[in-house]
Amino acid sequence: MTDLLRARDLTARFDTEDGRVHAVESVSFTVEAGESFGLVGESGSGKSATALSIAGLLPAAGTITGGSLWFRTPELAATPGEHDVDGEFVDLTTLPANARRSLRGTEIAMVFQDPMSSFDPSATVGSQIAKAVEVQQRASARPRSTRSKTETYGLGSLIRDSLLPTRSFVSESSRERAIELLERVGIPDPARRAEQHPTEFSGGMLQRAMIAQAIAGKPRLLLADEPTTALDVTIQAQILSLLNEIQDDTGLSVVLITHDLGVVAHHSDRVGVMYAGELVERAPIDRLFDAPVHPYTQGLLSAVPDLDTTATPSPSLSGRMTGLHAHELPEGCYFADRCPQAMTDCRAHPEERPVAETDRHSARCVLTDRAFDPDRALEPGAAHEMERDHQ
Amino acid sequence: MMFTPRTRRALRRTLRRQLLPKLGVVLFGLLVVGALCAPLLAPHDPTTQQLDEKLRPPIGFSGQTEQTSSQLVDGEVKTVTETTTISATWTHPLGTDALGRDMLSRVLYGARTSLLVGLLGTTVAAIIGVPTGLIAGYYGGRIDDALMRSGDVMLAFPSLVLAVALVGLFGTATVRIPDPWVVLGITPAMPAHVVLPGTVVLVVGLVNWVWLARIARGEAMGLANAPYVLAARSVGASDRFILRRHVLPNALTPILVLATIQVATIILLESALAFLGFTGTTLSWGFDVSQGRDLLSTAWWVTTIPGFAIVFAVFAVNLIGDWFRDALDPGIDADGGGGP
Repeated sequence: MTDLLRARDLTARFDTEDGRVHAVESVSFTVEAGESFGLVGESGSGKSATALSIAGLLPAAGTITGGSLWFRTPELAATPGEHDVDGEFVDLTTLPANARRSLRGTEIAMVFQDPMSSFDPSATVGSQIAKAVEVQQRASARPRSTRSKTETYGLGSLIRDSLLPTRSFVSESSRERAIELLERVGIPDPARRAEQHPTEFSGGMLQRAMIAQAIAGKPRLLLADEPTTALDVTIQAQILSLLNEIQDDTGLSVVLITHDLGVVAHHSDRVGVMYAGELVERAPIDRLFDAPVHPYTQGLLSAVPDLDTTATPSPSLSGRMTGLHAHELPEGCYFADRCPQAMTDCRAHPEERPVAETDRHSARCVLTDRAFDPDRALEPGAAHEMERDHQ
Repeated sequence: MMFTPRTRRALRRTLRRQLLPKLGVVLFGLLVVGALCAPLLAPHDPTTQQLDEKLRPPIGFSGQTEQTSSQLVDGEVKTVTETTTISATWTHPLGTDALGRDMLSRVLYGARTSLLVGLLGTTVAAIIGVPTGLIAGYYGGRIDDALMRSGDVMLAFPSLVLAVALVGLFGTATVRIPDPWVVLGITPAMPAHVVLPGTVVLVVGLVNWVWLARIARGEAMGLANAPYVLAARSVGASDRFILRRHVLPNALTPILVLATIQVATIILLESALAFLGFTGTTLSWGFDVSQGRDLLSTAWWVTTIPGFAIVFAVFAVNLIGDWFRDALDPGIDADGGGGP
C-alpha cells in the first residue's frame, strides 16, 4: 500500500502563562492510503494536538516547532514554491497558511468530539454543509485559491449579507449536493432536515451531519477526534460503522483518535499509543492486543473491564500522568514513575525502537530489546526520587 | 436572516407580555409617522414667518408680550412699556415662536432631522465599529491592541470639540433630499427638501463607533474559540468567511441592543449640536430650544415644546432598546419577573 501521510518527529509546543507545554513530542507514524490508524491515550496525552497539527488548526498559542508532516499530494508537489518536496510528498509544516487552508476540506478534513457545538446555531445544517461543498468546488476550479471572483468580502457585503436570508449564500446545486450528502450518512428525510437548525437535531444525527460536512470536499484523510465520545453507546456503534462504510466506499484514510480501546479494536488497522505527548508504542491492531511491549499499553489493556472474568481491573496504572510543562517533565522515561517494570535503565530517556524482527511494531521503551530484570527494578513511584539523586 | 426564528419568538413573547415594549412601539410609531408624514400633518409651513402671529401660546395657555416703544411726551423722550395679552388660537395649537412660525409644524419637521440623524449616525457608527470590533476580537494580539487603542484615542476627544473641528474643516456638508410628498405633488412645496446634516452624521458616528466595537470585540473573542468556528476552518473556510457567516450573526444580538440605545444617545447629541448651531438646518428640535432660551421668562413654550419632543423621542427609542434587551439577553428573564 502507498503511504498518504508520514509524520516524522512531529513536535508541537503551546506557550502558556505558566511556560511552554510540550504537547507533542517527536511523534512519528505513517498513515497508509485507505487504512484506519487509531491514536489512543488518556486526556492530555497529545492526541488532539497531533491531529490539529496535521490539520494546521493549532490554536494561536500552539506552534509546530520541529519535525515534518509529509503528505502525498502530487499536484502540490509539482507546484513551485517555498515548501519542501520529496517525490510526491509535500511537507505540510513548510506550506504557507493559505495553501494549508486550501488543503483543508479537500484533502484533509476533521470530525470533532462535540457535534452539538460544532454547528453554528444561527444557520441551517444544510447551508453549512452546502458551504463546505462550495469550498471544495472553488478549490478544484482554481487549485491554489479558494476565493472566487464572484465572491467578494468587502465591508458592503458584510453588512448586506447580515441582512439577507442565509439561503442566498449557496447555489442550488451545492444545496442539492448537501442533501445527497445527508442522505449518504443515513439521515432520513434529508431535504427537510437540511432546512433545520442544529438545535432541532439529536447528537447522533448531528455527528452524521458533521461527517457529511467533512466528506463534502472528498478529502483523502479524515481526522476523527473522539467522534463518538459525546454520544451514547448504541449511537457510537452506528457512527463507527458509518465511518467504516464510507471508508470502504471512498478509500479514505482515517486517523481515529479515542481513549476507548474498544473503538480502535473494532475500527482500526494499526494503532499508536500516546503518553505525555509521545507516541510510546505503535503496532498493527492484533499485535498490540496480543503482545504489547510498553508497560503503559499493557496497563491500558488490563484496565479494560473483561465481562468474561470476575477479576477486577488491574490497578497497575496508579498515579497521574506527568505535567507537560518543560520544568515538570522528568529527565528519564516519562512513564517511569508509574511503571511497574521501571528499571535503573529508565534513567535515560528511551528512543523509539522496533520490536524484534518486525518494523511494523515499535515502542519507546527499554523493554524492546531486553527483559524486565527484577534485580534492577525501581520501586513504583521512586523514579522522581531517583532522578533527584541523579542530579 | 437577521433574526433566527427563536429570536423572533422571544421578541414577540416579550412584546405580548410586557406593557413598556408596547408603549415603546406606539410612541416610536407616532414618531416615525410624524416624521414621514410631516407635510400632510403640519398645519403650516414650518419656515414661514408671520410676525403678526408671533409668540402665540399653546392651546390652554395665555401669553403676554411686552412692547417697548419710545414716545415723545412733553418734549421728552419716554420709554413706554405696554403689556399685551395674546390668546391661543386653534390655528396654531402649539403656539408660535418669536418669528411667528408654527410650533406644531416645526416639531413634526424636526422629528425628521432627529430620526434621520439618529438612524444614519448609528449606521455610520456600526459600519465603522462592528467590523473593527469583530476583527480585533477574532484575531486578538497586536491587531486587537492596534484597533482598540485607536478607539480609545477617539473616545479621548470630547464629542463637541470634535464636532466643532469637523464642522470647521468640512462645513456643515448638508445634503438636500427632495421631499417625496412634494415631488409627487401631494402636498404644496412647504420646505421642498429634507436637509440632512452630513457632518453631524459623521461626527456622531465617529464618536459612537467605539462602544459598538467594544461589544463586537467581546463577542468575537468568545466566538473565535467556538467549536463551530474550528469546524468551519477544518473544511477550509477562510477567516473572512468565518467572520461574516459565523461570528457576525452570532454576535449580532448584543450589538443590536446597544445600537438601538445608541439611536437615543445620538438624537440627544444631534440636539446638542443643533443647539450650538452646527447642523446647517433650522428644522431641528435642538435649534428651536436654542431660539427660545432668551424668551424663557415670557414665552416658555418656544423652548419647552421642542424640549418635550426630544424627551419623547429618546424615551421611545429607549423603550424599544429595553424591549430588545429583555427579549434577547439570556441573563434577563423575558417575563419581566425576577430570576430564580
